[in-house]
Amino acid sequence: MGGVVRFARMALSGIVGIIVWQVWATFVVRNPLFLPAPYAVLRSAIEVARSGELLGNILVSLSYFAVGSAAGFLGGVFLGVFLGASQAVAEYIDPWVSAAYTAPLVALTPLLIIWFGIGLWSKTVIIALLVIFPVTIGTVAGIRSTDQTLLEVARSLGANRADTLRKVMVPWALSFILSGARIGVGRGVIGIFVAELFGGASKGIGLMINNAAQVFNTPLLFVGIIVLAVMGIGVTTLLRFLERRMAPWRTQSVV
Amino acid sequence: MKLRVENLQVMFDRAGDPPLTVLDRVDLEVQPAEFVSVVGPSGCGKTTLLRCLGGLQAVRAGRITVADRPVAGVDHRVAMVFQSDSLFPWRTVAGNIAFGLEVRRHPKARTARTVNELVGLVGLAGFERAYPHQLSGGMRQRVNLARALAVDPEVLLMDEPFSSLDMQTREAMQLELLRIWSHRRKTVLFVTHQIEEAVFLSDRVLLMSRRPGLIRKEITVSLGRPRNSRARHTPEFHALVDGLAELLSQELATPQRAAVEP
Repeated sequence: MGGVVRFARMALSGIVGIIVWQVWATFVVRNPLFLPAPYAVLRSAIEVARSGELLGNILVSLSYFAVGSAAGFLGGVFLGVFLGASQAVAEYIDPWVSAAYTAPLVALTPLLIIWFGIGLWSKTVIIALLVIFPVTIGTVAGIRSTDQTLLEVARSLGANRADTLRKVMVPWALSFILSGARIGVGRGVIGIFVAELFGGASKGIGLMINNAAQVFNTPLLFVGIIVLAVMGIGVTTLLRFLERRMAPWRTQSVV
Repeated sequence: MKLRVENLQVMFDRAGDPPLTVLDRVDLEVQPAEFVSVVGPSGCGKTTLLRCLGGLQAVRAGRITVADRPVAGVDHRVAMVFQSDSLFPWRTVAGNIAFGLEVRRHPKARTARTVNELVGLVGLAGFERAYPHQLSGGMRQRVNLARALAVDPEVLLMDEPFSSLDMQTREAMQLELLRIWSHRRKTVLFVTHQIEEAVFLSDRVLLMSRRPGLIRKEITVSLGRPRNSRARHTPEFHALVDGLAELLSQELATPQRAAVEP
């Protein structure tokens, strides 16, 4: 029941938003260059979809996004476990992680292209870099917040450090790890756009957006942005689903 | 196995202040398969005493032995039942009970057999795959007890395991504990702040003083075994409870004493 009401409200919000957008674009702005109406965006989407261009672009972006995110996620968990488990290591590495988390890493894209070439490698690396630090920070926060009593239970039953880490701290931190991943994915989606802005790629959603912008094809620009948003929402929803499946005892997300 | 504590002293360091003496020369003995409770005013160091025996708290001085062999740190012969909600929420009932056996690297088949036995013993058959958040408080405490029994300790330490349960569940769990204990005759040291609980369960009740804690009095419980809930309505039971309550209120009325220097 609650789920139905929630869904109905979200759907209503979406429909009203699109109607307002359509009315605003048609009667107030009246210039598709400044604001394309949803209908024009839809037409543009159908056009690029029919030509196969859209799917090709999505597949290219999705391929390095998936590989980069997965690498960033795994790297983040490892780094986070490492930092969470040892206070001394954490003190050495923490400033670097904090700096890397805060720094606008996308600005490194030109440099990464020089290092890794204009192909998919540089793009994969930038996505991985954007994902790894939020996951690291989430993992560390999760591991450090492990319930003291549970740690004592484990110790009292004879668990060594490795057991405690693997069987108590990491499971405890799972929700935090997935929260970090959600933030990372949001950053990664921005990364798709920026990587292809510099990237000299031949295909990709980011490239499609950039090309549309250069010829002032604003409906296509919107199509690209919406596709990226949907990709982001898709992965985020998947992560939330995983979190509910794997950590059903938490009634609320930790972040 | 016999548990013996001699001259146990524990101090807590406090920033800026002199260290706080929490336990001061505690002596006690629990005979093999004896059930002994410790009661005392809150803050008297009951839990600290248990944590020392469980190897979770460093001691300043004194000696703890099980079967005349010293206990230093976490010891495989000692298992602890913590207060409620100390189950691993991501593990099922069976997974929680198996934890100690897993980390002690018992073979899988034997672990499964032990877990199965204990699930039955604590009355949770059919709930093996349930998660703690799906269980009632009483059921969670059954799992908690089974998890400690699974590692087959010589000594079982119980730290107010029923304190968060409502009255009815609590009394039911006390009976359950006695039933389970009759099947697994461990040496038990049970900490509680409830006098009735201590009397109902125990062979002996130790009364602790206010902080710094030491054993002030020892009362032998004359009620026979096996006990059922009728034991709560006997004159002996009431006499013992009243006597202990009287001692406890006397203890609360005496001024706090200074710690003896080691």
